[in-house]
Amino acid sequence: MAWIRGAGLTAFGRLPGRDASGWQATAARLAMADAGVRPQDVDGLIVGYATTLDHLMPANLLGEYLGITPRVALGAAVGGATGLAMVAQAASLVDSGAASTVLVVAGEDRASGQSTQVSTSTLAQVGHRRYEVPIGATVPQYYALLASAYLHEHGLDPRDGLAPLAVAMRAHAARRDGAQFREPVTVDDVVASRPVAAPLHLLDCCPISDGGAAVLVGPGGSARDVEIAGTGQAHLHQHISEADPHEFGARLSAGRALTAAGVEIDDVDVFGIYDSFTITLALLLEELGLARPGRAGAAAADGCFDLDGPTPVNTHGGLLSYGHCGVGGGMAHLVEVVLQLRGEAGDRQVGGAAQGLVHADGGVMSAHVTAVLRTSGGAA
Amino acid sequence: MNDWTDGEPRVVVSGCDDCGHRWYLRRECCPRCGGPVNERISEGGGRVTATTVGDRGAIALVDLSEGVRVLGRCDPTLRPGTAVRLTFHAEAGEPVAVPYFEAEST
Repeated sequence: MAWIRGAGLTAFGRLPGRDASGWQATAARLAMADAGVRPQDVDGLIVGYATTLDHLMPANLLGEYLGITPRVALGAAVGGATGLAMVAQAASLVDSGAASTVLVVAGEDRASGQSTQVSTSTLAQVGHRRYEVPIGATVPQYYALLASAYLHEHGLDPRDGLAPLAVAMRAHAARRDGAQFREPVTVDDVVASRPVAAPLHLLDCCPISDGGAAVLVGPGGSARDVEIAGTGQAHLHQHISEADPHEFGARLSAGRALTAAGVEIDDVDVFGIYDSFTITLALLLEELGLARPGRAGAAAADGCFDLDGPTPVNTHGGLLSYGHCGVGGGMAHLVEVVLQLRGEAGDRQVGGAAQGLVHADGGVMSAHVTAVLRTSGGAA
Repeated sequence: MNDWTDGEPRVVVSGCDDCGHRWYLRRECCPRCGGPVNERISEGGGRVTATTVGDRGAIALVDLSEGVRVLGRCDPTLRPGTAVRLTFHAEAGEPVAVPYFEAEST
């Protein structure tokens, strides 16, 4: 059985001064200190890609930097799902006995280490090199296409269908130190913000951030340890033209994780759901069964995803407001759920949180990974 | 069979001889069963499933009548549900003309 024994999350934002290795090392040191382990104790090192680094061997690079000489080293790339995929792999290494102290790290100077234009162009390469990239679509445009189809199918406009999700994430971030954007916003603010790719406005889109996140995975069971009760994945397509808009993979992935954990989704107390755009969050919430089809925005407006709602989601503010530094952005949800399950979330603590679910997607709703977590005292 | 990505202004729809599955993104065998591939030129009729407009113009996802989904540029007035026909346009400096969808004239 594998546990999250330490977690580290830096502030996110436009924070010049560190390169990708610097952010990774900062997050890694936070997680190691939190777990009470030293670099020489780490025998498994898994590191996510960084677009500003573009290195073939991210784990070896960071290992050398930190003085870690692991038995197992692995770089990983499944887009926004990379963080949770690395944690799933870490749990497997621990369960198999291949390693016992696995450090999972991501970090990048995505905001200050390159121009927005270069970042947008790099990310657009998730499109098909021959059939999609020449059309000139960007990642915001791919997600805008998903939003267009979603709003059309359900007869919604962006004000009702999407904007309340951005408002809810910002309300969470207002309570979270380290979040990139903490000023509350309204539905009017969202729909009045600059159009980025119709029907998405600027506040429907996550920012590009600098930052890092890391966790330490190993055998555990002490009071602060959080059990990785189950993980699941689904990878059904890469490109938007081959996606099934009613079965992207989230339901399958979460079902596999919940089954492995022996938990029903109704038993989960706190959620971390990938939210690169408001439409991402709407589609995932609905495919996971946390909102009815076409009703994610309405549920957000009703407070369902708030701290005191029935299904608290992204109590750190998510990618939309805490920020998005790449692989580390998707791991911030995980770190936040770990803090919630330890009861260390301060004034944003979800009362009695014993079980959590974290879900991430990469590409254009392409790669899906879910992790179910529980406290050492959590019910099976 | 060459298509627009090779400079021939047409969309080629692939199909499987064994299972009948159809797809757009070029492959050497059927992604569903591994069977051999046949090809046909799309007649260019379809219906819009999604549209967006960004800094670099309007883009649509279109379901062609042959049963595959294609990304292309489009007339910015198109909306989901609109019947469209396929044409090809190249912006200045682009090596090949890319799929461009216009409303079907009735």
